Amino acid sequence: MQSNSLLIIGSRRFKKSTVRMLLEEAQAVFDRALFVPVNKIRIISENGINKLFYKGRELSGFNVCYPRVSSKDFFFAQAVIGALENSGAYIPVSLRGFIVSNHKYYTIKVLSDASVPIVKSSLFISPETGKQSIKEFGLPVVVKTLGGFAGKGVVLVDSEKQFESILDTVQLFQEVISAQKFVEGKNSDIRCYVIGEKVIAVRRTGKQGEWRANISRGGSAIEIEATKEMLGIAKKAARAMKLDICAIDLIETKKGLAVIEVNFMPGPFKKFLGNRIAKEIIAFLHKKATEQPITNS
Amino acid sequence: MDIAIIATKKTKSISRIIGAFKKQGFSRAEFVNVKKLMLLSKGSKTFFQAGNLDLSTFDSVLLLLELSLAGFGEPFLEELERQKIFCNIRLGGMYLNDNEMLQQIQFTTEGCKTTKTICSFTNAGIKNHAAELHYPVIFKSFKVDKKAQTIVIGNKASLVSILNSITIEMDGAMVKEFVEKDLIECAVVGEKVFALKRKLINHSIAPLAKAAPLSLSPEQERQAVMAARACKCNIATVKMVNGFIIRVFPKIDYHIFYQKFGLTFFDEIALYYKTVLEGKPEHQKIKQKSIFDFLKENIERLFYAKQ
Repeated sequence: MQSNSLLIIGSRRFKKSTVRMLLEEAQAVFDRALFVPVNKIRIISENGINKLFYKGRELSGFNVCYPRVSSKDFFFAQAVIGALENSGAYIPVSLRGFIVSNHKYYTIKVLSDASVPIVKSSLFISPETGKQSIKEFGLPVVVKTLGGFAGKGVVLVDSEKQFESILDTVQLFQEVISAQKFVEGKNSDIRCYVIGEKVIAVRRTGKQGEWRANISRGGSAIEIEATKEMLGIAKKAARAMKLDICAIDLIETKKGLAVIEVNFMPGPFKKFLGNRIAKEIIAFLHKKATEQPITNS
Repeated sequence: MDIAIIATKKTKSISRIIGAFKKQGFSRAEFVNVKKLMLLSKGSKTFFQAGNLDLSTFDSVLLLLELSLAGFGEPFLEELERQKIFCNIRLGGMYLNDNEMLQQIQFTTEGCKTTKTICSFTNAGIKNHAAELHYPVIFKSFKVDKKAQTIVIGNKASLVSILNSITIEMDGAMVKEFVEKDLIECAVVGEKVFALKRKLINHSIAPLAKAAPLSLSPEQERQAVMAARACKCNIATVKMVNGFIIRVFPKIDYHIFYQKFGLTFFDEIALYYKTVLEGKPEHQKIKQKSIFDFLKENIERLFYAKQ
């Protein structure tokens, strides 16, 4: 009988509780489950083959690889995911999906092309050109700086003077800049976890005085029933991004829901959801493992 | 047929390229400063904004961007592809070539001949495999937003010593077996290859300005074209040594190749675009557009502008 094995590749500075939760779930259903931080991997390219190594041994025989690498490790992770894509193992994150989801504007563009509702956004290099964004969106706008692909900073700008001053500073560092129309929310948004065909909807509420609803900034989360609209948008967005496991963050606008961000390695919100997300992810990966023969060397 | 040449500044080479396109019968060959460009996504559409110029009416683009602008270049390529505007770089070509480690993975995947290479996040990762390499090797350390540091190292002891001396946190490191032969720097234009030989003198490669034109064997030409294609480029610089591919860049040093090959070089680029556009009618947008399409697009534009 063929054995099912899972390789989880994590960030250099991985969250121990998340890894422990995923491994516990994985060990219950997989014959073999291994976690490796991305900074411990080497890739050796020789005689027309790319091979991954960890602690001097080749990483082979896995039929599913699940990369969960943060944008801080973006540069090396691209090479690892590039090598994994041709390893024969199933990976729920395509290289393109990884690259696009690490670029805030590119994400919006790809979703817009796929007719997924988005919030008006622009991308530019020069502050002079960027000022047109204010004419398009009005104030306030959300300005996002992009160092290469990975996002660097997000600022809410509510005056033309502030906009100019931020853009001038950013230009000194030769950054690419994205601007987005600010949509006033109720200090909350909806995160839709997409895990294969399954969608789990969660309402996130930011702490008082915070315009972002991130849990890491002191917010809270509660599972809600996914509406037809949420299901449709979340599934379409994940398909467009070529991500089988991701989180689609939605905001309520006057015209309905719109996507503001896609997260390819969503946190499991253990404090609020227990091991629900980890369980679903591992169940999905296990299903894929049973369908995927081991071909990677 | 028409073309927009996009770069950060207009150089003499760009003026000569514009001349070559006009000679080939292009009705419009215009320089566009990338700083004037903006991508704007609203509803289910993305628009190019380039001052008064409507970039979406062009059949083709020659994109001459630095790889440091990949964060702008890649979504821009995506929109060019969506609008079926032909470009010298294909989708994925900016980020792929911006990351030398990813490029190395791509060479191997696509069957390009390369020497043994080890990519690692940390120095320690390379140290563990130092005994498996044939020396000399080239060691490169990467820090995002900074130029890669490159050193040629003669033996294992020196490599280990250098790795031990680097204490800053890096974003990646790569070591590659080094072939001590002259470097061949090729400008690939579609299927054509213009090659220059850069001599290896005292372990260092002579500057490109001092390189001499060289005739390549059909196999070398095939390898150069294959490497450019593997890196999603229709026009590219390909560096090779003794048949091994070293590096591909989507940009060419147009000034030097013009000095070595004259106007023929620019004519070849314009001819290549002409041949592609004539052979692929889907890129000839203006001729294909019906009055209905034109009205539909402009009504949509007006609709979104009012929103």
